[in-house]
Amino acid sequence: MRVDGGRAGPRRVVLLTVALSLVATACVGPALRDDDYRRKAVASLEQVAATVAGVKIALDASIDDRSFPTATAVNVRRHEDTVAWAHTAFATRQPPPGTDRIRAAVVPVLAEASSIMADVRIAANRTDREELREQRRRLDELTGRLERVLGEVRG
Amino acid sequence: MSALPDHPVHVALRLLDRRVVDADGEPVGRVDDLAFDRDGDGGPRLVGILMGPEALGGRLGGVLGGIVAGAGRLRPDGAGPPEVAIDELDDAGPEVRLKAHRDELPFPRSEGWVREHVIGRIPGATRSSSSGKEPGGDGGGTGPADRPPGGRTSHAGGSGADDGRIRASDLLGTRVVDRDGRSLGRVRDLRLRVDGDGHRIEGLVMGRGVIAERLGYAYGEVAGPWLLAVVMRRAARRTRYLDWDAIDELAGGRVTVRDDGRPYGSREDRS
Amino acid sequence: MKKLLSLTLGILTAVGAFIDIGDLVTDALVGARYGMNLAWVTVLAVIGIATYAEMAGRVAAVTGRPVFDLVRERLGARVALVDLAASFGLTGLLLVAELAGVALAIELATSVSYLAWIPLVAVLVFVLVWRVPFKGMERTYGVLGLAMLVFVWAAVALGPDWGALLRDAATPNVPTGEPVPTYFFYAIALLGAQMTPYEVFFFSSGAVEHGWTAENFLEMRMNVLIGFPLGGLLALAIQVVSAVVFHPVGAEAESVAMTALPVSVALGQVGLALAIVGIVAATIGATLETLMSTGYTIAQYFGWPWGKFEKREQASRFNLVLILVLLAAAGVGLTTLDPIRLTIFAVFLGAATLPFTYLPVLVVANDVRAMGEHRNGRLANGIGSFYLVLLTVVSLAAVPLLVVTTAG
Repeated sequence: MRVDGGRAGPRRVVLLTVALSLVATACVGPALRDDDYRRKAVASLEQVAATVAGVKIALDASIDDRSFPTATAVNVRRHEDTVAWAHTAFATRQPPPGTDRIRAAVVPVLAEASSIMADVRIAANRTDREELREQRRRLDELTGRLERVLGEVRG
Repeated sequence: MSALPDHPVHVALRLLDRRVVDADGEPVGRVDDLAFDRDGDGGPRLVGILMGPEALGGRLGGVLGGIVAGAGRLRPDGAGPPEVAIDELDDAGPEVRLKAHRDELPFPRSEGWVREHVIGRIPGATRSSSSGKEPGGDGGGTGPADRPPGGRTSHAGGSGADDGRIRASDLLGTRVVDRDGRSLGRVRDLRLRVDGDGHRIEGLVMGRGVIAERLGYAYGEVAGPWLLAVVMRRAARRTRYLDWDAIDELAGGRVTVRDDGRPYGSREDRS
Repeated sequence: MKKLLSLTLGILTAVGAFIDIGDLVTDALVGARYGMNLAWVTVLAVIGIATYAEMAGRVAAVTGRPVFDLVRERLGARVALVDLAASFGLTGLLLVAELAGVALAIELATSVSYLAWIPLVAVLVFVLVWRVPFKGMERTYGVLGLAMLVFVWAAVALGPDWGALLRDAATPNVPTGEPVPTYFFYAIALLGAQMTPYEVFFFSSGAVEHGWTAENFLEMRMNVLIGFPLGGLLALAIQVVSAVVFHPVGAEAESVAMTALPVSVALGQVGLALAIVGIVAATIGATLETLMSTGYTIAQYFGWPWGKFEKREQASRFNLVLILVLLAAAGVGLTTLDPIRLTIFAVFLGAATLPFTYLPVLVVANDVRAMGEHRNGRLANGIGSFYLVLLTVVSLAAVPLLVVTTAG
């Protein structure tokens, strides 16, 4: 068994591990944490806005009979999953102190997006054109709200 | 007459890892290692090529090599990797061609086993081909595993330099040190020369890098492209060559030598 | 006349071989996200793959040895084993993605979840491998893959501002608000999707299966020099339609459904039907090619007999590998692992392994003893060297980029 020279090594490793885990668990200054939370909020909103933009194109194609009902249904289903995932991921994130305003603005609009997407999926599966038109209109409104909240959170 | 060319041969570049085909040109394996005999005067004499996972595993070393070699030892006889004597080679050019037909060889056993127990049992497996190139009488049941070895091949014993036998892998990659224990790099290649009706190791190529020797740039055997040649020749500028006679001892996983050889890779060194 | 037909079919096959799930996913994705700002990658990739495929095809025709044979011979048992593990693993991942791609395209037409189609597609692929001769197999999906031309038609029908697209393509920049590392992440993914290692494994092994010799150089070069650029044109068309329809409104395209959507927008149901046929054909072709490539790499490393049809009795271990890999791929495909992320991951890392695949090809193509008068000329060596340097840089940058961008 070696006694000498073998002790500084492990201790350094332990220190390094502790330091790294502090960084990794975001045990850092509050300003940094706020910033991180805000960035996550913006990313979630952008993700949902991009998804909604795609769904609108798919619905337009479907309403004009340019697509197959099956393809539209599949497309909407995928996007519904994406929105639902973005919503859950952000809503379940623990907000750091002082960020409640961001959370209060973002979570409702994400929840609404998620619920509208479910309605869109139901309409797409039924291939009911009137209902699709109605959902298409709601998506336009949703885009407006998403952009407004994005502006608030960014500003 | 030997199947190897008359000029000096660098084995890592020109012989090891080459594809081995039977008399019909069908692949039967690769040159996984080389067997040498330390008889008579001069360097060890090339006596055969070793094939199969056991030989390959021994060369790879480490845990992975152990696994590969273990797969090779699943054979019932456990007699060591199959060895084909050097005078059973028809040609050793870009690929190694055996004089024997694959049905006369006792290996690869796994091919026959898989054919018999798995592939041959799937419907449609033995449908004859449209080109009709298939040799007759080899459908399904009778694989090489059922045939007698035919006396053309033997099995190499265990690895190690003690029984007068030595493998290429015992030398390649081994550290070279001088009498004071100073490192001169590792053995990267073995140079063979014609000796009577066979080939003997004439000397070792040593280097600190790997790639330049392995790819043939160190000996000027591959010339281009320009960019690679420049980079590789730079990498190979410390490549050295050492006569077999200058070796003091080959033991303990290293080669002890009495002088540090000479630079290698000039035009005259090309094989 | 027959010769001409054979040449044409060969070219079609090369076109079909170029487009696979990697292209379908990444082209649409970067088109939507970056407009035509990554089009230069496709030009780069086509020249690179054509150069190395021609080299590998020439070496295979002269020496009878395909790429992984050379990898083992020139890099030695150990380095080649690492290369084998990486190439085999990534080609296997891509196989999972191709299988899922076929299933996703069928899902578009049926609305039945792709997970239900994966086992059926796997059975179909097994039957194709087991029953259909090599040439017939290649040509069937090559010709059906022509339906992919619908993307070119759609690009024309959309009537974009070609001048603006061309300007974007000619003066690429990172769009504002987009992080630079992510831009390069997708540049590498696109490069990997279009220069996938399995393409040269398959092309060179195919050259041996066809029994090509120096007399077939014309056919081989036509395949490479016309087929691959045409494939690149298709890839650009996918980028264009995606850039025109999605980029201005900021929509994301991260699914096979979204890849096909611009064709609906441009051409309606007929276009969509053609697109689905094309995507199914291209991904089935790629499924077969990736599957065969996993078998080729292993068999060539160990020196086993290999070959698709003529040598079934002799190549039993090769065929066993194909069956096991196909089963495993179908199994992984059924785990609901996101096939799109999997694709991006596989093509990205595939780009990182390219230097190991191409180096032995370049070296052997310069080996006087092996190649004689057919060794590389200055052009092949110049372009080949350039790409070797480029791909080495890509390879070194790949892992840090993967960490920084957390895979896009």
